[in-house]
Amino acid sequence: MSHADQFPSILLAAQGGAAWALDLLYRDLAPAVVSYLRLQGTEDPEDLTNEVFLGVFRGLGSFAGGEPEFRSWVLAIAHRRVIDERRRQARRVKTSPLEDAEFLRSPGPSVEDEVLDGLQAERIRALCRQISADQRDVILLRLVADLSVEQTAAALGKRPGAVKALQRRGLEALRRVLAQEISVEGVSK
Amino acid sequence: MSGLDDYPDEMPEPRTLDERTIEAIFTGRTVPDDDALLAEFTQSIRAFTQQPVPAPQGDLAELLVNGLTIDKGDLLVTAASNVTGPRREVSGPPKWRKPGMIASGALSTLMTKFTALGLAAKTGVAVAVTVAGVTAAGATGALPGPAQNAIADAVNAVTPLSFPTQASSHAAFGAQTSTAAAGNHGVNGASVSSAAKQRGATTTTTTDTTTTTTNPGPPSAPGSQSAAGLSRANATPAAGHVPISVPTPANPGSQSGTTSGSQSGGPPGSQSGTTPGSQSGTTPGSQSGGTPGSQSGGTPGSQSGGTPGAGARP
Repeated sequence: MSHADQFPSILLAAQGGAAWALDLLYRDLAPAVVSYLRLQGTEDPEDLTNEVFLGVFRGLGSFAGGEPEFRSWVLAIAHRRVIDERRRQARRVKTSPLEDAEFLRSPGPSVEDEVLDGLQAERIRALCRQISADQRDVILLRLVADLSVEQTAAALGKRPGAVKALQRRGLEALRRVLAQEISVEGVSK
Repeated sequence: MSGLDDYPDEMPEPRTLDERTIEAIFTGRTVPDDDALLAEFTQSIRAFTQQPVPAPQGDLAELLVNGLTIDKGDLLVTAASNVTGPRREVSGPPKWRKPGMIASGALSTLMTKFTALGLAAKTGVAVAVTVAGVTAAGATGALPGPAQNAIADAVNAVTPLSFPTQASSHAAFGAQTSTAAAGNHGVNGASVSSAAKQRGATTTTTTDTTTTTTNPGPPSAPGSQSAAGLSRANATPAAGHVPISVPTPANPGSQSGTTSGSQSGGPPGSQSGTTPGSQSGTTPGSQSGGTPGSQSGGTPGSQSGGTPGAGARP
């Protein structure tokens, strides 16, 4: 967060309902939240981001802590939304490819950027689908939200030792997948 | 492909990632060449987060513009545990039924509470209600004469309030008559007479020490009325004080004004308000110096014309 040293006063103002402070918090963390939701493959990342921040601001009065804790708290709320959507997706039959809808909704300053972002997001999601959900949660939280092991453990409700084990196994799995992808491309060429 | 199909020399098992490499990958630092592909991929993930801020929509957009309205109980900031349900108006009864229901509900509540009281408490409530009712009636002068006097005396003695008494109503009438008599044009005998009739005066006493009449009768000529008054006065126990003759008034109107005015010019309250019984004419002698106001008002015959009684004064 670029306003880390001023975070206490910003948080205090936000808890008092100041619009400028709420806007500052939103602009600081919304990119990480929407990226996390998008790479997790949620149906409508922007709409879900709105819901996440409404939940954040609804419970802002009960929050106490510094900037790292606040970041971990916001991503924990976002992660719970992901879990909810996973459960909903598991209960219903898919009628259209999720990637197509996501690709069309990807924001960007131009169509070309949208396409590149869409391709990049699709490639990342495709690779991340090769590892387990727990490993993916840890890796994305650490990379996208820039959380530490402890913050990730707090966001996921796990112990730091479990998070370390998950991130190691996840990275090793990704390394294998990447190696296989290279070998497949070499064979096809 | 499985591990059993590999030649160990051709497909070496990748080494396990150590903690330092893992932290270098997550923090974006340089990693060994063996893990460059992985580092590149994680770098692309990190770069993906450089997204534009998504435009807030709906409630969130309004929130970021207007801020939280905590003091107004904005639902957005209301904790879920504090949400007790919809407002009462949503599921309440129709508005046209509310006043009646409120009144009947309050009445039934009072009755329920009253029946739940003990015997002593019920007695106390009944006494309090009775006292309040009697006091209110006394304040408005609606009680019967003796009761009104008793209540008024008690209240006037104990409290700074002033309750009307039966005497005070007569005093007011006398004061009204005295005020009229003190004017330049004398007493309006007709109006006073009609007012006295309305007050139910059937037996009246005439002026001063001389004449008492029990039946006012229709007004007659001043001279004949004076003679009749003298003869009747001689028939009373006060016959010794009756004058021999009655001077004929030259101008009944001016005489009436003079005599009535002089009689009624005294303290009206003390004269007419002393004793209501003094109007009844039981003791004419004692009334002679009593209440001119009340007497003049209680003697239609003497007031209506030349006032024989007034004219009979020595």
